[in-house]
Amino acid sequence: MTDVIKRNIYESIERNQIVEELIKIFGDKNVSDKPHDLIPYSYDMTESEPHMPDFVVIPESVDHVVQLVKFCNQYKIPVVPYVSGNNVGGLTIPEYGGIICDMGKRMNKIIHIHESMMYAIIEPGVTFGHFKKHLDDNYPKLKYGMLMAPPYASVLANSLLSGLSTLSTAHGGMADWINGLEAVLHDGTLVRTGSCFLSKEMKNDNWFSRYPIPDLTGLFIGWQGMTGIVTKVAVQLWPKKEFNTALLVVAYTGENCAAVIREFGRSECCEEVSCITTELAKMGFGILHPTKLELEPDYAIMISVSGHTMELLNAKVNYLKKVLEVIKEKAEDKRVFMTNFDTFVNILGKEFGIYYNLPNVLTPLYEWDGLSWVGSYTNPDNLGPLMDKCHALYEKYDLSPIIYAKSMKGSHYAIFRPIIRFHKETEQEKVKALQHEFLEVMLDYDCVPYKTPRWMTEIIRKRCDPNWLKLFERVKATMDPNMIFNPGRWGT
Amino acid sequence: MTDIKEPKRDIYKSIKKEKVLESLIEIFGSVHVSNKPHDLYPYSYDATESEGHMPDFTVLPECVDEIVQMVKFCNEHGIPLIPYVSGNNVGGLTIPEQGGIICDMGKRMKKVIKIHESMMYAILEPGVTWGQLKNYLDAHHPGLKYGYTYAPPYASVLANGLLSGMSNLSTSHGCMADWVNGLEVVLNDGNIVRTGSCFLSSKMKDDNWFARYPIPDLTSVFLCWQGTTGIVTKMAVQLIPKKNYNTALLILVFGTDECVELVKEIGRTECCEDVSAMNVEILKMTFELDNPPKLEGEPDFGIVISISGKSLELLEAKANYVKQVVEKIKKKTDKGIFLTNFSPFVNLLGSKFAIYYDLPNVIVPMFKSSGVTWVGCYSSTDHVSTILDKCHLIFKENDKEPLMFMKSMNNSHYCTIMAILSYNRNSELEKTKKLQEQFLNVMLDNDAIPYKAPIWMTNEIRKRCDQNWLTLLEKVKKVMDPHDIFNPGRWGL
Repeated sequence: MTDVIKRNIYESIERNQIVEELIKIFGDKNVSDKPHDLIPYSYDMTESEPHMPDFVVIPESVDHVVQLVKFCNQYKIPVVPYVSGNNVGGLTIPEYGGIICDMGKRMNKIIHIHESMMYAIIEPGVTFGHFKKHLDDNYPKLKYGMLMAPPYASVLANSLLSGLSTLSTAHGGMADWINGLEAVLHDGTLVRTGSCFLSKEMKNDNWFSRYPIPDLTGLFIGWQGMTGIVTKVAVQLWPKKEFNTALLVVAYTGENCAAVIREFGRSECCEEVSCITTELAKMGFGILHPTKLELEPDYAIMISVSGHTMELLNAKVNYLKKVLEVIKEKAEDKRVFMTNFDTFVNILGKEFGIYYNLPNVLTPLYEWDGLSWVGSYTNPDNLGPLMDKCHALYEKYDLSPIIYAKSMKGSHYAIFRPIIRFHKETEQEKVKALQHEFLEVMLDYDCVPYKTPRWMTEIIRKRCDPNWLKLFERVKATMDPNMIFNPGRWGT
Repeated sequence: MTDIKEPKRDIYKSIKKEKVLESLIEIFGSVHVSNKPHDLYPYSYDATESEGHMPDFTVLPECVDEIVQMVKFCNEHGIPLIPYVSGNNVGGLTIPEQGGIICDMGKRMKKVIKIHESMMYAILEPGVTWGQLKNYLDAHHPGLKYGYTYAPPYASVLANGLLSGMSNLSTSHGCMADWVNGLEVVLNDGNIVRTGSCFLSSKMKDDNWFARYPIPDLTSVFLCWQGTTGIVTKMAVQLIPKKNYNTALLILVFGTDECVELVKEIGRTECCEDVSAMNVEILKMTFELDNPPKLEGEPDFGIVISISGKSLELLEAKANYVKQVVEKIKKKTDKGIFLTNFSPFVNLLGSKFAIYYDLPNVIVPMFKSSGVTWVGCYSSTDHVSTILDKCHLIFKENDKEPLMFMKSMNNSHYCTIMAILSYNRNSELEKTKKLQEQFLNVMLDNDAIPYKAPIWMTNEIRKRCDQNWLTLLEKVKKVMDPHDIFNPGRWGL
């Protein structure tokens, strides 16, 4: 059972009164203060410290959320937006107790797919799996980027946190694909941002762009729910291409791996260029404790290429072959090899296809009750030393290196993410120590962590531009004067 | 001489004008401060129909520290401060609505601070122009490029980035706001803040400006705010790898629906850097004809398409696919659609015709009269045919040659649409204002969102838009600029 720390939120209102009020808004079936209902919201798979919420509510409509926020604002009760229970980084652990607003259960409508303008308006509870199926069934020419995460993860939450996907090498982080959103502000007003602002009432057909008006959308992006509760988001979709292939490159050094990620990403020929350590690749076969054998390569780099015509697809693949030759020529270690991914899948079994059949769950990653990482945006130039240094840290802690990296937005930047799976019962402290060491290495290389848990933001706060912090706090105080929205994040 | 109105607000209640002058001279030195009408006049108007207003002073800062001192001073005394760069603004965006000080960063703050070759970004000061950036990259970093505009080469890259302008890479890479990695800004209290990934160092470094996210997005507080929330002193913009193989195609097309469908579908191919359409009257301006009419039998629109490839094979594959898309559309209509390479046209008609893909550049006849203005919008491509037809009618009813421009943006996730007016400021100002109002109404009725919007447009938008959006806008403005010093008047703020 998890430890519980609470802020006293009952100074101005009795607990019973809160229950009554919540039942009035949501009906008694959709409110609970029972410990067995609350415990699942009190922790996640990471090393983040758990805290119990006081209540959980299951809204069905925006109006429910509006009433809830007004009530919370009046009595300064913390309210934590929650969707799929799949968060990593303790982002929805109710640091100061309060109410979990679980939008994953009943606010999960795909409101509109605009086929011609290629966007979707969705509610918070729409998951990657749900979204993919809906598009495949009804709009077979459009797609959204998927991710190496369970299919029940929330599209909206990942967009607001600027996650990465199978289209991120080509089209950037998910925040780049947001056309606009609807949010409930602290005083209960409902605001629409982006091009959809240009109508007094909500319409479905004017959510096509984030700009060129003053950018209020950014007030909710990367903010971890600290500025309001987002109830709708419009995300860009992409044309599906008829011809697709996947390539696999293996490399033996961090430096070569980094070169492939950077240069392939820059080629503008790939939808995705992602790298995993061999140990992580072997998990594709369901191996619980994969080890890298002598002479096996250290890294596998998976590349998705697509084309509207076969001629285009071939031209892209041929260009990538040239890029690889140039990398090889310059490299000290010449062991960089490329092959068609299908060949591997045919030889090794279709389980291996998991890496390009997303969203999906890599079961061995979830084998124990603990899973954590330091995920970051980084300079691709630094991937080589980052790989090497984190490898050494894994070794120091006697753990298999599980590292994921990706080229983002045509290699304008990259993702670097060392991952740890662990037994919470016995390894919590060890993992915390290792996470801290990863973070120190990564910050020294200017990596900017994403989906940051509280302990990470505390370290970032010490290192970053102090005036950025002041501005951050100024905006937070304006958006949330009573500190009700997900308090505790980023040191608030 | 244009009719210039006196500023609307009395800013010299708490401090005398002479005192202001003294303080400014202390900060900038006497050579870089002026209150003389002949120095101030050029800042009081632009080429559009926007009402002119005189500033009280102009200053020419050389460094961020000078700006910090000035902002602190203005904040203390409630003096309006208008950031200004190249004098090339359209929409009256830097006309000092309520008087005050023009902070002209175009003259001495124009350093290319850093080109990060491997991370493909540039950190720029406000005064860096398109021409300057292009020359600099061509000379020192020939593998990289930035998008360029149909604007004079002396326009500011930073201002266009902040206002989310468009360029000849916008079909493939989106608007310029999409390319902003981070900013340095002087806030109302004189604090200098850095936003984006560069926030992660207590001192400014030049090698960590690689991304806007994944941290709380404070860059947004300055994007498209028209200088009303702070003075941006540095910006990091993404650069794009230059490709070895390039070609341009030209489609001549009859019919509005056909033109719009072509732009949309070709933009969606993900094969083109730029897909821009203009009516034939604009195309003809290349020959420096003042008011070129469309003759009978001539096509309605020309669509200019830029394609590039890292290899010849890629270039050809892209061009072939674009041709397939055009053929498909051709089969659906009996109207004429003619696709050709741009180069034979240039060979036949002279190198001037290459202006449409050799940017930045000036289409001279557009600037021949004393006034040029437009209503430019981001729009749903679905509504563009209606907008084009209705605006065409307005041009005709008012005896003006129709000048209209459209571009596929971010692979046709949306598009830009512009109705442009070249006019004589002395004799046609009132007529132009009326025409502009008509254009605006057509566009707003069709959900198009004006960019670089002058005050008269934002007044109209305020009436139509989500009122809670306005409340939030005002709330953010108030916290960023409690004494209302930054470019007051914009967006009704």
